[in-house]
Amino acid sequence: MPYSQKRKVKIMSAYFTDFSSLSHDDDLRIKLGGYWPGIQIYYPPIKYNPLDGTYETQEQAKFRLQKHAYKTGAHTLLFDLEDGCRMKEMSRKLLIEELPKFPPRDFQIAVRINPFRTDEYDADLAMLKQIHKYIDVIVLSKAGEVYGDAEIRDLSSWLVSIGSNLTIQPIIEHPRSLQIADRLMSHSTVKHVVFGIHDFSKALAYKITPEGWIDELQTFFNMLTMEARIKGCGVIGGVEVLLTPNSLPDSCLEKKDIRRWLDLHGDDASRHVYAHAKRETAMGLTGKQVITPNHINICKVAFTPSPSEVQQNINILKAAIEADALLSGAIRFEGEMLDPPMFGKSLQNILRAYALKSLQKEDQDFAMHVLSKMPIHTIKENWPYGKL
Amino acid sequence: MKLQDYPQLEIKVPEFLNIGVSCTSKHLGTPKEDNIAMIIEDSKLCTSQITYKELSVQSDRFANFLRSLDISIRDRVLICLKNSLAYPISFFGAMKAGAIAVPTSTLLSGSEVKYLATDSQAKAIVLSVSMYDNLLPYLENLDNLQHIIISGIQNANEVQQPKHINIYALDWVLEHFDELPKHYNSRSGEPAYLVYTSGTTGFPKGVLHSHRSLVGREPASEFWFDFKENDRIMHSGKFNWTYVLGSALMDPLYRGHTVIAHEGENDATSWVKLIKKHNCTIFIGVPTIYRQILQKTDFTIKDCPSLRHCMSAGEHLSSEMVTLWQARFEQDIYEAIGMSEFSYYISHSKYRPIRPGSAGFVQPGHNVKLLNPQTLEEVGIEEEGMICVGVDDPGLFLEYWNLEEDTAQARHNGHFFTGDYAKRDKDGYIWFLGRKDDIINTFGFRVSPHEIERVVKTHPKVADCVALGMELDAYKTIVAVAVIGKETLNNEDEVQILQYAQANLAKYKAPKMIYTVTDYPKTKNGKVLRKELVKQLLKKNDEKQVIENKDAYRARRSMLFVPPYNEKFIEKSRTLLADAVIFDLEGILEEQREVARVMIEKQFMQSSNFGTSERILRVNKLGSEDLQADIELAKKLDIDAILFSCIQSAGDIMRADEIIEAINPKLELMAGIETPLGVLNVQSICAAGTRLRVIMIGSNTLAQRLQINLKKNSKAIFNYMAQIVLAARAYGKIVIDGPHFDVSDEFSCEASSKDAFYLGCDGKAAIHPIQLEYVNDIFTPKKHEVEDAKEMIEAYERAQKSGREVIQYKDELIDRTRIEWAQRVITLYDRYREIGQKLF
Repeated sequence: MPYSQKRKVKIMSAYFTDFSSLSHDDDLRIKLGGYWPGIQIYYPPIKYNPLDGTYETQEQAKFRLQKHAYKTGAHTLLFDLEDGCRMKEMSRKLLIEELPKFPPRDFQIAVRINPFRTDEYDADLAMLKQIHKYIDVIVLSKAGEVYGDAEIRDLSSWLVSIGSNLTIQPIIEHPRSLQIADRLMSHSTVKHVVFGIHDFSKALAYKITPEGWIDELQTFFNMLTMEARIKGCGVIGGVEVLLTPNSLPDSCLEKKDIRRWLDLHGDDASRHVYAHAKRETAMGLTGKQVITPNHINICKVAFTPSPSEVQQNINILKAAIEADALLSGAIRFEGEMLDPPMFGKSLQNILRAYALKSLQKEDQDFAMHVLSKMPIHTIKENWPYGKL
Repeated sequence: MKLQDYPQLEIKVPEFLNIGVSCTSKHLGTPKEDNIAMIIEDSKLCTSQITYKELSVQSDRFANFLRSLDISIRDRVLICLKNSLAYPISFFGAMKAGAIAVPTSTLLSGSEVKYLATDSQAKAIVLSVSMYDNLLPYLENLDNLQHIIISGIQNANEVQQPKHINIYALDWVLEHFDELPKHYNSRSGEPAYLVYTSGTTGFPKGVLHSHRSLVGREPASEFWFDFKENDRIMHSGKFNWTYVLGSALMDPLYRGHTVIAHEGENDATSWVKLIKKHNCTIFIGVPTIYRQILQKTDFTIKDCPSLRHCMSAGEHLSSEMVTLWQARFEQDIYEAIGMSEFSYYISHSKYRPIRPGSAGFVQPGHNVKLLNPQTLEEVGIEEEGMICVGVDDPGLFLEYWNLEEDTAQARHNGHFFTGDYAKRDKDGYIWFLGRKDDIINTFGFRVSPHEIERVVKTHPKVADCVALGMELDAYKTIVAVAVIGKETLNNEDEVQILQYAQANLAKYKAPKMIYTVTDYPKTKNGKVLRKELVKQLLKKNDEKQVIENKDAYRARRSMLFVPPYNEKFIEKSRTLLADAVIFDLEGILEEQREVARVMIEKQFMQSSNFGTSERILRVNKLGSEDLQADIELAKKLDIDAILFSCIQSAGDIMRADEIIEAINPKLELMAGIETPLGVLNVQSICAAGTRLRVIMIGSNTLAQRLQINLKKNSKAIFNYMAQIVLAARAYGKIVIDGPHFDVSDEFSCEASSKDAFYLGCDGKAAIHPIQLEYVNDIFTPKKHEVEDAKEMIEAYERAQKSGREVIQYKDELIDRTRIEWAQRVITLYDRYREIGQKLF
């Protein structure tokens, strides 16, 4: 082979990533930054019964866990040891006993631990040391509020010391934390941050409303999402406090069905929650925390591209590849003129479905095929989360 | 007559109590020790008996045996035995060991026993040898079940050996095991036994009772049984039935009496003979047994002089039966009512005269009230209320087994809601009105079936009677009786019985229909399955009539136009969710029509089955050339209706009527109004003819003729649509909005469906399957609306009794018309659910 040709091949292989050789999901996960937190349901380990003012017994909590937590429809099951948890000692005991018994699961397990360097924090770490293998994520409340980003640094090195590969999701719930968000996100253990809207607005002395909080906090959302985009991190959206009496049925996946359900069966609260989740999706958030199971489906469908949307995006990319216009040029598609930035958006949508675990195997293969045709910097422009 | 006061009674619940111990070992060292506890009269195995001392020892052995099997406190032991001495031994023995005994009927099928074994997670089962071979295949692969104990064999090797499960012979156990008492000292609130309700619908559910239920039934012992020293009780029931468990096993043995029970074949003469043979003083039977004795034997008290007290439970006893019994046996029959959750707590007693038809009194000591389930307030004298039991009553069950929600749902504000309705008269007698489901709701009146049965049963030719509500349509439920005659009944007899009932009952209560039957569908415990009976009778009913009545509420939410020139479209329409399919010969091109006719005929030749969809042929306009060919086609097809387009006058309807008469007089006529003239004449159109059933608003064509641009202003056509709806409603016609024209614009199709719905249309047509889901959905009543409608009707009916015609319900004023609408909502909902289309 002439020298010039050899050199060209070498340059090409550095320039492109060979996705076609990947066959195992795990590899793809690293390349693309893993699955997103998606819809995170707060799960109180020991529940309070307001009717008679008592707490569950360990046995009752265990039974509830097996009945409900085992089959949650959320992307992340978030055990709360902080604000929503009064019986902390008992809760930790329950997690130590029960997490190792969890059956194979298709969702992440996260634990929200108490603020840095408090007695409860130490107790939480002692628990984590025992069961970190059964957990995916630590959610750190009030992150950076007292010791700055040293909190994340310390926790990260502690994780290394116990040989754990847990990631940390700091909750930004104070203006101080927002100010140092870029530093909080500079640690490799941090892949997503949570915007704790209620504490944040309290610290800011803002009065937010259950219906209009997105507008009311838009500025800070923008600040946070911009920092996160630069750092290649995701942002997890706010908790809704509106209680919805109905739950969107599992069968509702397509826009048309959701519209019909909201229109004819849903309640006002569901409509608000859905509208908020759509806004957060539009802002590119990677997840949302919810406090009632009725919010799971409605937020999930807002966050996840529907099967027909995925198909539409695949069709666009196929047409682009067919016309050899993926990286430059333009195509006509169903009455629209589309060019590479639009193809990037289609790819984003498909990868978004992947990150939220709703992409079929053959569509994953197709996504890899498209990625292998793109130079690394183009992939990074479209998808900043992974390690390439 | 002045009524004597009831003595009062307070139930004292000790801290520790064990039913097994209290009914057996407690008698040791007392004069009762050597008394006979139980005698079993088995038609095949002859008579066997056991003393209290023996029963105590045997049950201790059984308890020790269970412990040796590693059956621990609160583990479940299924008891599936015929009436035999093994029954009390294993039932009491299990509780002595601290286990929960689970009595089940021996009549259950293998899969039913398997269900109970799985649901209760029983570790062991005790069963009679005769059932072993049948049940084994169902029990072999249950994770929880580890041991089978067989009664009636000497050695476990005598039977087939199962895999992964241990088997033992009960007789061997009772001979070889240690008898040293090691009773579990249970607290009285701990679970003792689990009974399963017979489950007339769905799966049986477990009702868990505690040890305290033993003392919880003291009021019954006091006021229903009227026990005297050394009573001998003849019981005709099977031990597994909740009320027999109490009245034949626990209550008499707790007090040291002797129980005589029977197993095997029997006839009407058996019972009196047995009472005589064993000098019984008390007899307990279900009404059927009393009826058999009275109707099929000539026995009198002289044939069983020892008898002094008779009791009945299980179902309602007719007053005629009581009177006849009094004449021949010179004593009353004391009736009681109860339920699996709370054994016989209302009964007659010697303290007050029996008032025929009444259920008697709430036994003193029980905390039972008649409450209005909505307000939770106690109802007044002669008012209908739900029987509710204070949750602290020791006789009440603990919980539904593993059904937290059901348990919580049955309890409100400190009361257990029994679901039974009754009223109390001024003297305190309780009059049972039936289960909520049993009560017949006829023309706004709520009628107790028992009241009607009571009267009809007194007719000399009637042997038995069940009163039912026959729902002819949503507005029309009439009272009917299903009668078993003493001899075969002819038409004249039937008329006589109806007249007799009408003469003796209020007009609204009197049955309007009578059916002669030879038997009723019953549960395994002998309770009549009323709903099943109604179903059977409806089937028997004139089928044509049923179909006609059903048609009034025929689902017509969505009517899909199918272009029939393409065979695939017709084929596809068989599987779609449309309530009606319209094969459209008019809205297609002229040259396609002949092909279309051929295709339709071909498809109908293959099958005229389009599921639940109504089959409609849309023919060409009156006076057009194509019409004759369409008519010829219609004559060959098995369809339901014909749609004529462009109807403009009453004369058109008359002509269409004639055409249908010639094709098939059973077909219905549907008329499309799509011209300004049609709108102007709509009133006379709706009034004309005899077959017109459905008006379809051809909104697109109408808009074109009126020069309205529906895309720019969809509301412009409202006025004309409203006129058509008004006229259709005035003449009782169904009114359907025409299809939305733009298939690709989902939003505007949804909006136009909403417009039609809010305008009061019954449904909407569609031109593409994609439009069906939304259309079906919007015209389907929502679940919460149905629940609201039901509550509203109940509130209205209560108010009607106090003479009010208009009530306030949730900030709304409700009158008869609103109630009719509410009833319609419920009927439509049920109908749509039957169709089973995909709804949220």
